[in-house]
Amino acid sequence: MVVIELKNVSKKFRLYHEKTRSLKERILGRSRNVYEELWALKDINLEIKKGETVGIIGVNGSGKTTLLKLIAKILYPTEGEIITKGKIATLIELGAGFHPDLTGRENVYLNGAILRMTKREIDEKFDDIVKFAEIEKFIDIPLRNYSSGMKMRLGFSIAIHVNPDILLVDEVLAVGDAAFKQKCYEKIREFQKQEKTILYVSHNLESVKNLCNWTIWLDKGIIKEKGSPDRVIDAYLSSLKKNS
Amino acid sequence: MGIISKIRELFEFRELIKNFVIRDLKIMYKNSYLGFFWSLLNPLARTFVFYLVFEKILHIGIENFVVYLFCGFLVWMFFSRSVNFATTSIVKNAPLIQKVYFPREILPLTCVLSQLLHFVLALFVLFLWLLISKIKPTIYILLLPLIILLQFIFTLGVSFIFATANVFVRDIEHLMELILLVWFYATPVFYSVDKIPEKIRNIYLLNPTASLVTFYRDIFLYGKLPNPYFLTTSFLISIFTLITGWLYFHIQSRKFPEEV
Repeated sequence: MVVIELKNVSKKFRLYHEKTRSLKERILGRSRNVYEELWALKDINLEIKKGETVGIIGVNGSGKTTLLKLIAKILYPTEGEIITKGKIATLIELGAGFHPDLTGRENVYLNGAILRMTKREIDEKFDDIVKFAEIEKFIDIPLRNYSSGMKMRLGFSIAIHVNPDILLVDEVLAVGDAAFKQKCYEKIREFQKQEKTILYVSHNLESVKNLCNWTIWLDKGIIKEKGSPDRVIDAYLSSLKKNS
Repeated sequence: MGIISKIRELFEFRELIKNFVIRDLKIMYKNSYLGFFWSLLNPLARTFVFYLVFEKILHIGIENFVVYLFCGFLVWMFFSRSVNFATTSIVKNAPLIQKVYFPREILPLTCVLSQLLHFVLALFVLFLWLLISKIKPTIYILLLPLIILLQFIFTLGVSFIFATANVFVRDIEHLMELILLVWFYATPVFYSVDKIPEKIRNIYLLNPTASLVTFYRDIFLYGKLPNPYFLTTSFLISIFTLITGWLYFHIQSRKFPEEV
């Protein structure tokens, strides 16, 4: 069953040289017309089936994050159509919506809701989330008193406890020390066993090789190559060598 | 996307709506000694100030002036604060909008919902005052939910419009102060509708905030049925405002992540 389908999808951004957001500039300046057009993605066709883990690789600015944001409905395509089936969770940034004035506990519920968890789900997983983040002692103090490491661990811990049908992961799982990464890969394996569909953007090619069923190589907004991770990664690496 | 499927989607995201409202309330009163009491103190204090100025100094001579004023401030504070917070709701939540999907309607909607909670709290103060003033409730008090709904629909519609406009023209948030000042004087908070020249009174009352104030006074203070004609026009205008506002918001919302 196809759960993510992209048909001739293109995305154009307008890059304004100077942001003109005020009335005065709009009326007097006409500077609004100073922008460049950038095709972040061009004519992408893609079908992803349920239970697949798909890696997305490519250099910075090749359109990887834009692709995830389009699938997540954060952005909308300029052309083409995107069809998705099931609940999507997007992990583009850890701790999205964390508020410094709220306690750790309150932030778990807020961030959990943002990641589309229900209250019951959070209730059930609350102890696990706190334990995983290793912040039991601090859960009832405001987030502003957390160290950046604690915040990161909490955001991370909530993120891996979400229970979507489709999981879009953008590099965030690369944070943390080696032990943390290990926990994270185990979690992804668990998701795979549960037949979840995962899109995995990463610069860590080794992890792509280990985790993904197949891989897409994006280059300047087009799919340069897709297929088995080994083959695509080899092609990608040799192109990097050629260019350097 | 149609209205029905949008409502269904909002229902799916009810957990998030609830969390945003709780967040707003918690943050608003965090680190303040009186906390939630401010929701009650604020309209009371305003009523007191206006009472002093207009009753004791200017001798405006309106019966039960405290209840009279309070009805006006109830509507006005709900409306102006909702619209004020909603106007910046999209821009202020830019990082969230760029990182996660959720129906963007939730942001202005939570602003209005949080204010609704303050409004309900303040209603209790009004009830208390009615009791003290020995004003007996009549059957028409049953119209209260309907009038609150009317007020909610209109306020949400206006909130959608300003929230969207401010994404594209940031001057709106600075203009808000002026717009709301004019709007305040166009609402009969401290004066009687009778003061409006008869010729334009019918047009004046087409402004839902103006007619809402009179509705609250009718059911609480005078214990009579609000003018059915203005009830109907207010409802039609409010629903029209909500649909227009939402459509504008909905069509533009796709551009939000790139514009904020």
